[in-house]
Amino acid sequence: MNDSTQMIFPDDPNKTRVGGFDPNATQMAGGMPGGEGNRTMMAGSQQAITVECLVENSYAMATENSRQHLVARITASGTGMGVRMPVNLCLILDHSGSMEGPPLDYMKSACGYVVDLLEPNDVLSIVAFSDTAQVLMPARRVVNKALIKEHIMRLEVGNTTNLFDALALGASQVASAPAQGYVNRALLFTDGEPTAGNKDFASIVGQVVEQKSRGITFTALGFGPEYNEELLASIAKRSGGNYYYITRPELIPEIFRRELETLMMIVARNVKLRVHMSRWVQVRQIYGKLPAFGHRSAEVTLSDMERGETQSAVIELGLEPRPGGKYRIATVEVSYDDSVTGRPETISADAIVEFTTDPSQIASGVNQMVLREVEIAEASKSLERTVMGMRTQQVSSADAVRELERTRMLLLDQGKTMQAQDIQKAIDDIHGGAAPEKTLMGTIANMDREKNR
Amino acid sequence: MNENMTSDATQVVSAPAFEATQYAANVDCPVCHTPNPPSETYCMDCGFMLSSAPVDVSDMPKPESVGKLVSSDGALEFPLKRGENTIGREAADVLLVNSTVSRKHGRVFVEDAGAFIEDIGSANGTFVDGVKLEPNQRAEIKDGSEITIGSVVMKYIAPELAEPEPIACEATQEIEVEPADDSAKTEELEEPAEAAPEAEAAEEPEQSIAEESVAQPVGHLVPKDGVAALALCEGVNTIGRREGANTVVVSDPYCSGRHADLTVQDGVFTITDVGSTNGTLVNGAPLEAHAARELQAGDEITLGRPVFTLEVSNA
Repeated sequence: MNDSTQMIFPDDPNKTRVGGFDPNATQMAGGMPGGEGNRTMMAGSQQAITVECLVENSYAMATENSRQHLVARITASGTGMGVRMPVNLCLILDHSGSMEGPPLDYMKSACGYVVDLLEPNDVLSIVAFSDTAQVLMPARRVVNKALIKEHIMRLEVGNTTNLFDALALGASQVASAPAQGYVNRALLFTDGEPTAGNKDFASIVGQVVEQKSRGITFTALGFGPEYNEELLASIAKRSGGNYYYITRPELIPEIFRRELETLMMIVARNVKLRVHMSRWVQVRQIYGKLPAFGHRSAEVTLSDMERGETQSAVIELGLEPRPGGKYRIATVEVSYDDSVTGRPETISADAIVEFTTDPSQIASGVNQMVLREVEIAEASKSLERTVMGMRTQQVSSADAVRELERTRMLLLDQGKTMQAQDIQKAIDDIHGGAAPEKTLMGTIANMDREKNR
Repeated sequence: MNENMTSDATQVVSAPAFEATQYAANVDCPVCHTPNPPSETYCMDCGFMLSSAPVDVSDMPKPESVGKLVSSDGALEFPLKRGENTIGREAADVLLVNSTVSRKHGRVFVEDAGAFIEDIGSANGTFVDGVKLEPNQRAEIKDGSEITIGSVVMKYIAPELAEPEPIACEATQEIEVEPADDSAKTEELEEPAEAAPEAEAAEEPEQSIAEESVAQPVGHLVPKDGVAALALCEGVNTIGRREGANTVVVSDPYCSGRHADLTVQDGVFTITDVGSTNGTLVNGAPLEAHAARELQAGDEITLGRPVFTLEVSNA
């Protein structure tokens, strides 16, 4: 057939609803373009994550240019998986001069904690960095825990912070161990700005993005007042990992533990969301992300997903006029590595909108849930502006507090208590004369995620 | 008598099997004319729900097309409106989420005198065909002008060429009729801007459905039991039970999902059974599958069970 080059989106949930449709239709559509994705659409099969696509309005004007938001909500199943996946973890530890004293001691005990939590199936490597980066322990199974702890205890303070080389070395350690069936993660712990080696932010983030394409995710743990929150947040964000701000040294072990727990609950890795637009549709933006645009498509990286977690992507579309009727304006496709089956999977959902000439239908078609998500996405943007404004001293503390208070109320309103608490913390920071940027960066990074367990 | 009954019983299988439907012909989208495999619910190109009929809006006021800005790789496209269009990284008409673009970067004005662009004090500047604009100084842009906003390179496409004009739809009878001619259409898939097929004079879907060139039926299949006659068009009419997979839908359980093709070319009508379960008969004589048979006006055609008479319209 001539049209075989066109993309086919087989598992359209709407398909089966069309009256009188041939049961063969769903079979014929099977098979993923490009090939390797596994479709597990059979009833009873367990999908680690599901995707749902909500449109801001189920109607649009057929005779006008219009805009509309889409929310792609991705949910990881909360139950059932049983055995956890083994992890292949690299600890990338900053032992620069500023870590001297309690921070270094707490970091060491946090690492000991991690070793205790790991099992012989897990793989651990340790990279330490100051002026240069060195492998403290190459990737190996966690069998002799006492010996590993001995390695960690030998760590002493150095001078500068060579972040770029440390990330490269950490990634190579993760890559040296077998990836199949493991949750790969490099955990970066640092307390300062990069001061040695390649210090260019764009190169550092670029490296992370490149490693991500090889399946390595970074989690960034920032400690103390000196590190660069923007850099660490984007390292985490661009690679699908987590970002934490650790205020006091005694909290280091707790945060390490929390991250490890998260890792042990991961059910989907390398999560990517691709929006395929139909004709006369444009993606204007995906909030909080930098999409890679292709021919009628836009793709973004999402965070690895742990059990019971929900994350949403808010997408703004431009719609052009057309004859009236029902259209699939876009298909969102989520591809990920299923941590349970160890296989790449792809799921998708359609956005269906009816184009009409009747304005009263438009008024009736609004989905409040989408509007709320858009509000949250906008709030996240305005937080980012506040952070920038405070840093450049264009926003006064009083204005910032007002802005934060408004955002906090909005979050509370929408049941985002975790994020609202973070904002409260930032407000307290300002009142206490401290800089709230590091806390806020974490709020922004986690704005689109929700944990229900 | 007895013999007749047995032969009937062997010919007509009560539950229609699905095999015959697997190799169904493509379904052309009534909106954008893209051929779709019969398994698709929505048009692969424009997303239209293929089991429904489009509502013609060509008599409604349309937004004036005043050109658009398209990124150099073609991935981003911004239809412009008359008057002021803001350019920027946030809440702009031309929204460019890129760190080299300022929040409020510039503006495009579309006026009777032409299209103009202005930089409103951006950090990284605006260039037209390589020439940097002074802040708050308007520069005219013409079709094909290259506009650089920060590091984003865009092209201005003037209105005459920007027109997306597939807005009128076909005659929407209950049975969708449209000659299928895949070979002529597939090339268009590559070119989203050009929606109306030019190759076929027979079905040029222009502004108004009143125009006589639109899918004028050249004949009808008139059912024996006298319900609605099914319209036939010049070209291939695919006949079958399955909606969305056929241009002529016969909703009788004895008719296969894809049953037969009825081709009309220069006034000559031919019918081909495409491997139906219960067969096709012309004046009582069964056809061999995949063998074309010429028809005359008044011929009696049996599609599985239902019987039709071919009626030919006067040209």
